[in-house]
Amino acid sequence: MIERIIVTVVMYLLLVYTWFLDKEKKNRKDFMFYMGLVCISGYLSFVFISGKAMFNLDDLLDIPFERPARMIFNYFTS
Amino acid sequence: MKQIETINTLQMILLFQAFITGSTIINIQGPFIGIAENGAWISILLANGLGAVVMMIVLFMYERYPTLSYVQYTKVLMWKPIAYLFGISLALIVILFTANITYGMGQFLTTSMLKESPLYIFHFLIIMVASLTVRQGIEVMARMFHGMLYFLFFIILSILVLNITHYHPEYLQPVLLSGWKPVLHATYVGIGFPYMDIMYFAMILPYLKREKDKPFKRWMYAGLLLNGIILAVTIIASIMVFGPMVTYEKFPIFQLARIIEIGEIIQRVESVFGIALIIGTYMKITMMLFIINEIITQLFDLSNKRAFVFPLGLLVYLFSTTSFNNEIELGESGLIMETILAVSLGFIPLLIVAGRSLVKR
Repeated sequence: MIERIIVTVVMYLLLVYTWFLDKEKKNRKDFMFYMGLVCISGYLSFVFISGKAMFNLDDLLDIPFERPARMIFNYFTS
Repeated sequence: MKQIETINTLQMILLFQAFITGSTIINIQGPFIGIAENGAWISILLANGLGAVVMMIVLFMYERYPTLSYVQYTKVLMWKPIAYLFGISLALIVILFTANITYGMGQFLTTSMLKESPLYIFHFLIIMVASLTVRQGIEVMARMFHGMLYFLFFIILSILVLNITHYHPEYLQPVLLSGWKPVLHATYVGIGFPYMDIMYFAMILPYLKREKDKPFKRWMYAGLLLNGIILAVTIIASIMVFGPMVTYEKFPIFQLARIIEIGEIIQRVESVFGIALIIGTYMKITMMLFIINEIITQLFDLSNKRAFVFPLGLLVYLFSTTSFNNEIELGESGLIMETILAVSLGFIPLLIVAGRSLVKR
């Protein structure tokens, strides 16, 4: 767990560094979008550090596509 | 990253080759042979043929809108909410597939070379290097990958040639032991990865500096064919060396490198060959990250492309570490889900947009 926290901290430090590099060039829309991405990253960082299986991108895409995908798979393997 | 960047025809063709061959060179043989056994090389060639169809549509759209990427011409041709829907679904699948590739690379390292190390360290390092490369822009990427691609091809050729004494052509028989169904199954998997990736390349094509005298399209098709031949030859070589046991090898190309032994001079060279294979994956991840950045910034009309590279890289990194709990989940995502996701959320929207461009003159 400690190692995961250290890696996460390093990642965010890199993000802060690049934020300052591009600071002047961002308008309001860019800023809002940037913060949106950071918020999603925050949730994922929590999932990563805790090591638990929580709702994720693949689960989101599984909702509409898992059944047809398995039907095709079953056809080929039957 | 400059605001207006262009690359020449040769660089674009080499970028395409790096993109399409990149990570597939280590990842494709194991699953394909696992599904289609000795018929795996037929599957890859069939999937390659279907990849040519995808390329035909992508190049058709490029001919019509040479200065626009997929997201940009979708916004021009379609009703805005639909364009956003297509763009967001494309971004989601490209992020997921980049996370898959990153996990696959980490898995390759932890199962073959650095068995005690945690996966996320490799993910972190490769995504960080890829993000730094993307920040430098497509011109730098094109110049860098030019040399790297030659090195990668040299290493692949060396693996194939230095194993020449181990080949047993009789292992190639019987080709269709279980009939055509497993071959078609592997072809179906191959459509999703790597051949639907051609569609994502439509985000990079507008960077091409148009040179009328250069036969660009012809060379793109030649590049695609070359990719199919390389992958088919590596599959055939793996089967000829390991025989029926090849189905148990997760990364047959690396195992081929491991067994190279020429006298007492050339042996245990797998680490050097492993570096080349990692370079292939690095090129692929870098270009996928570049494409994600292009999709997001063009879709939402964000002004500073460069600023979004690191947050998106961070997002891909976190998805790669949290989406799959083990390699079984990764295998399911790659073998079962990837094709249907790529076709439904990538290829069908492309077909609709292409159809719309035919109607709207």
